Amino acid sequence: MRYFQLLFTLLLTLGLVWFLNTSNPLGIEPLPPLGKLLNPYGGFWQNAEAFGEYDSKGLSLPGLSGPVNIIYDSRMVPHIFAENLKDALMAQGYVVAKHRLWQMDLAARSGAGRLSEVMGERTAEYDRFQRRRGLYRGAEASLKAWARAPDTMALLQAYTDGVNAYISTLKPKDYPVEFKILDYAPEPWSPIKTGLVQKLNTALLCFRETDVEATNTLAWLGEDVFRSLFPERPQFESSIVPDSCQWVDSLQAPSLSAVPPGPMGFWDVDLMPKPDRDLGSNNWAVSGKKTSSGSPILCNDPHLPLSLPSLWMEMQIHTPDMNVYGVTLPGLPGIVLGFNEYVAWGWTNAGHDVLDWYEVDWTDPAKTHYLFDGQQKAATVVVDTIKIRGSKPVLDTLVFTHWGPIVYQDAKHPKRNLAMRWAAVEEPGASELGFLLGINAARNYDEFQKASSGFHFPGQNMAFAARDGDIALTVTGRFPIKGREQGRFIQKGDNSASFWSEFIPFTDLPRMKNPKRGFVSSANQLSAGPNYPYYYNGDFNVYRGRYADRRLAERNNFTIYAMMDLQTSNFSILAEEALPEMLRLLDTSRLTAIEQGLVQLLGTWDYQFHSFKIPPVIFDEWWHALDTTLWDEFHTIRDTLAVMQPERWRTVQLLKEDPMNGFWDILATPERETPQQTVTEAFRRAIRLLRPRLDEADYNWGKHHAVQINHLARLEAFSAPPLYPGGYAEALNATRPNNGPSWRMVVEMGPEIKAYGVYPGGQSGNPGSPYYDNFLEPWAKGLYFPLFFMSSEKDRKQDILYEEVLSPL
Amino acid sequence: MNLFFQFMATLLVGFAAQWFLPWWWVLAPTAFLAALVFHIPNRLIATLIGLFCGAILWWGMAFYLSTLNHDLLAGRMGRLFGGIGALQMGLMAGLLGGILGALGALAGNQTRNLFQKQAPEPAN
Repeated sequence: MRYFQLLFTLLLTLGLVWFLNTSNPLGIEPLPPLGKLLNPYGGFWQNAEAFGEYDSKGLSLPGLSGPVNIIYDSRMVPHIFAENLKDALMAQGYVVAKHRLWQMDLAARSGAGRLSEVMGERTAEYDRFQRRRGLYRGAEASLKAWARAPDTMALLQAYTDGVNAYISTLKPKDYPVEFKILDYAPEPWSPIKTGLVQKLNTALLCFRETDVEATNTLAWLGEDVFRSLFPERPQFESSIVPDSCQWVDSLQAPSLSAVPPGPMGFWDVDLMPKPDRDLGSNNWAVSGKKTSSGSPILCNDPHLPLSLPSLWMEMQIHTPDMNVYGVTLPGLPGIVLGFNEYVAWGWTNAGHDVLDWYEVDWTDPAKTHYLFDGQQKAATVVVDTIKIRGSKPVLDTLVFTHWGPIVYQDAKHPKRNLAMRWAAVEEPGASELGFLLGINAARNYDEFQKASSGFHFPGQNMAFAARDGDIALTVTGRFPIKGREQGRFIQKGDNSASFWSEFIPFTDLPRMKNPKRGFVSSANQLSAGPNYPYYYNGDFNVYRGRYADRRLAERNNFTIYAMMDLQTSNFSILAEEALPEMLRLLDTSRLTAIEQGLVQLLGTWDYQFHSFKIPPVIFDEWWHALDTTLWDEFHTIRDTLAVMQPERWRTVQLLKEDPMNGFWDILATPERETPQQTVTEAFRRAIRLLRPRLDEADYNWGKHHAVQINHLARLEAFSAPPLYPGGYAEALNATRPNNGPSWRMVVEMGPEIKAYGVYPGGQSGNPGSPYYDNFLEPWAKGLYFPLFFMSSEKDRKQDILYEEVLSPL
Repeated sequence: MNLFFQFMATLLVGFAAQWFLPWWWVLAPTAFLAALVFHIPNRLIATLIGLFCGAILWWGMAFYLSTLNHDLLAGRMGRLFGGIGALQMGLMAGLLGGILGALGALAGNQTRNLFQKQAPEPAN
């Protein structure tokens, strides 16, 4: 009897321990191992940082040549003081790992297509997508190229060693809390993971193309209608580098052999997910002639996905040869956007299309060979294994042609395949790795140019301002030299003439330095004026850049505060141009009294998308309803065919000057609508949708387009509550529900550098730290922090929180 | 006297074991050993000592860490557990620790009983 009792107790205990030690014991996702997680001696309670206490233990690090002092300022921004660059980067690796280790692990896994190893089946499809488009292959190619520059490779190794030194100090109880919830352990860092972080961010910005959609749309609409709806340049353009720059005349693009026309017809393929089209950025620099201080000012705000932990981390790195401040991407050595004692820089995305699709001409039904320049070439088959936690691995077969992998297969004609060529995953030059560190240490325009010539992807409009007075902007990156319209549509893959093999030389990239107008600016619009001799296509914004240029041209005596005001401006030219036309075409006689009241409200609006206003709500809904009623032909066909969508500016043009256009007709009705009828119908639909919300007390634009900043693993508990800032996708303050200004920076490059910045997040990646989300509210309010650019270790112009010393072993 | 020793051993050795050893369940074997070595005849009381010590060790530590953290993380974790508060998170930890301690102590007591063949069944 006693034996049975004991046996029962022991079994009960073991059973309970097993149950509480296992992830998802009942198959409930995401139920973490409860015993482990709730145990206060090793579980999540260990991640609850004591307020006002800081880990200043420091560390002895093999490989350091001298001591490194890390000083944290009152916002937990680390300021690294090292005796040389290698030591500084080792410390940088240590510091990013200390605060953002799980985020780095996630990014590397995400890029490699290895999320399912820890997340299970729910991420298997995502992993397959990441592997198909080749981020890992790209990172491998980068590493191969970087290895040819052993000096910079040694610096990357130092950074890697710094990350791993931190990881090796961790006991399981010290792991970031997400590791505990998802029940896995951090892996050592390695240079390829830096490559993966870089590829992941590249994919965010230069994975945009519409080749399949354009081919389908052309086949559907015919040549004339297609060309009229989708011209390559917008009606009102304000290119980054206008033709008025003299250098254009001296440029000569090489003449290319004629590119063969692509295959016509419809393609029924399951398109890969693409990044949000409204990702973008603003930057500008004004010369001292236009500022009240007489010193140039540089501003930058990249609009990227917003998350907790944030994409960015603020940091200063000081060595005897370099003193640089700005934001870094955890996993990449150096400072990505920022300033040093001599120059400041900021980037926006250049939306050039660097991804093309080729129809493969198979010679046999088994698809082992394809035709290329009249010869049969063998395709290579690679089988990729995706490991999945808690289930059998998934095998994915990839067939490679010399263009790249076969990604698409036509659903109706299995023989028709599309191979993908994406320049961003091809082998870069050896100088790519060193470019960022080169920029970080640049002292003038020439050094900046020299460093940035090594930059590859994603192409960026790099604005520049120097303390010596220079301002400049260069559209920087590797852009293929294309024939006219090459890569706008699907191309024929049986012919080497479709292949672009050269890139626009760095010296021929659109650029301007100290222009007469006294400022340079970019906001993802077209790179250069119509006379620029190289053909390029892609995805370019039309409204934000025009507004920045208007405001920068109209006055002088800019101050830092005027710049902040512009950067957070909620004004939209889209509303300014579209709304008067929409109101003009609105048939108010068909509206109810309440609707007429709303029209009056709209009539008084100043096109500012301020949080507290109501008219932007009405405009935005009306605009959406107009888009679906005017372009209903597109929305209808999209159920069966991937097609393009006319640009916003094209809608405005139709409103203004094209009353006879056939698209005004609403398909679902027997009669043929006039613009008045369609615009009025759209208004009534919008108001029908909006009425219940407009009746709520305090409903306004802020509530209507609330910004939701989620935790990177979508853990609701670690996500931010909704924020209600002003802004609009087509305003300079381009806030959107899940993306927006991810880092706002204003720097005056005077005798004393004055810099301000803010990002929506916090320096710590730990949800148990008060520094996890403390920048959110100031960011939402449009406030900035003065950045503490320390001149030396002794500098105490602002308060410091604590110091930590890394010493050589 | 053994009652006091079992109590103190569970509490002190339990604390030290959890502090230095990486296994979250280490309290169960410590409570087991304490109940085995310092055997008391009353099984129920032995179990309750394990329960009490376990609950105190888990809840107390959780409470201490969370208080210094102004309940920031415990509050967030509570949202992961269906929207409960930091206090309930602490109690949940205390409950788990209590169960671990109780089961360990019970098993320890039962094991000692196996070897005490001569001893009469305790008249509770």
